[in-house]
Amino acid sequence: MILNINKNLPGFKDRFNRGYNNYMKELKKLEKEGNLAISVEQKEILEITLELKVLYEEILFPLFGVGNFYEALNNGNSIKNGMKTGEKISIQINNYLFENKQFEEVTEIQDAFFKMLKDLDFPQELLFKGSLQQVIEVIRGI
Amino acid sequence: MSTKPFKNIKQFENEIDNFLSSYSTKINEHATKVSDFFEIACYNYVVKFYENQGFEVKVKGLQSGKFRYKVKPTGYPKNFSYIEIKKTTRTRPIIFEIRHNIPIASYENPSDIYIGADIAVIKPGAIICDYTHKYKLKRYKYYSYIPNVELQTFFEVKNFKPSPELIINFTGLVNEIMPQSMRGENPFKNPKHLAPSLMVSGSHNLHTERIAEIYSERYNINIIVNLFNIPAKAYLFISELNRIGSK
Repeated sequence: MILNINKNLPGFKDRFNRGYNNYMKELKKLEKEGNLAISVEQKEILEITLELKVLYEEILFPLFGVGNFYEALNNGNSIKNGMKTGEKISIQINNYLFENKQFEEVTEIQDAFFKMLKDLDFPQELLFKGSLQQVIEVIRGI
Repeated sequence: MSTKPFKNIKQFENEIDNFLSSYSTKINEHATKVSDFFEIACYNYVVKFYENQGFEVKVKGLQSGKFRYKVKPTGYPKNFSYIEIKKTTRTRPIIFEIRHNIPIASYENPSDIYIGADIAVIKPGAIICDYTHKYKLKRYKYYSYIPNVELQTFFEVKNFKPSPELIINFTGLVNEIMPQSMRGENPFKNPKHLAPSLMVSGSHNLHTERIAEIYSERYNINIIVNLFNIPAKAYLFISELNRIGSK
């Protein structure tokens, strides 16, 4: 691995490795079959891209997702009986509470993450590409 | 800062590592809840689907101002929150509840087999609280479940990469609680719901893609993958997805 994801996010080690190993297994298969057809530099880019993709898919996306639900619960479109004006609905999962503090943190992470990608000129489509083959096709064009 | 990451890989790595270092404490705080977060994200997409179909969204069952999400089939439904959706037609209002993790009675053996789907769309007030049910545990006052006839559709959420086994297991679930979908029948005249759907975070490989194609044609079900690609895929639930209901 190239990035220090496991070191920085030890709580997500298993989750990250699960997603990463899936991509690696597929990548090795393509390599073995001689179907990779990318340069050494492109392969390095591909590996970083896959790490970033797993970070997004396995960790950040669910985090942003609960933030979206919090936002939807508290927007003006839904009807909320018994709530005072300006009062926010928090989300309770067992004993854990996702409230305004968590929402603001998640929003901050989300903004910083996408700003970083923009600053780096990282094609965001790579995060959303469905398959490894599609990612490789984009990288081949770089 | 480099603006061309692919021209300077080292710089690219450093920027990502800096991001991780800056936010690792905050992200790590959420580590144990990420699977639940993913399910909640999918619950939100289901609500958004109905909102986009013209339904009014009402938050119900708040517990002291908190939306209490039910992550396990155990627990009394009255202690958890849910979303009610309502659409007024020319003749009458149509109301459903979007519930999470409540056991659903089997179609063939409704007194014996109950399965907890992650998300279920049901008729309002349909949940039964049975004080004398044979499956009631001593520590509970009653056993709660959704009668099969009250179920409109359901969604199973998996934060995995799709595998042949995962998809095939899902058809077993459909066969038990909505076998009409396996036979391609339309059980209701209600507004079109999405057919029973497996919502998977990861993306297909060639094999699972083919299985999903075949199953979506053979049965009235959906295998929705690559949920990261929002909103194009899950948020609006594109028209090619299978539906149930005839209106």
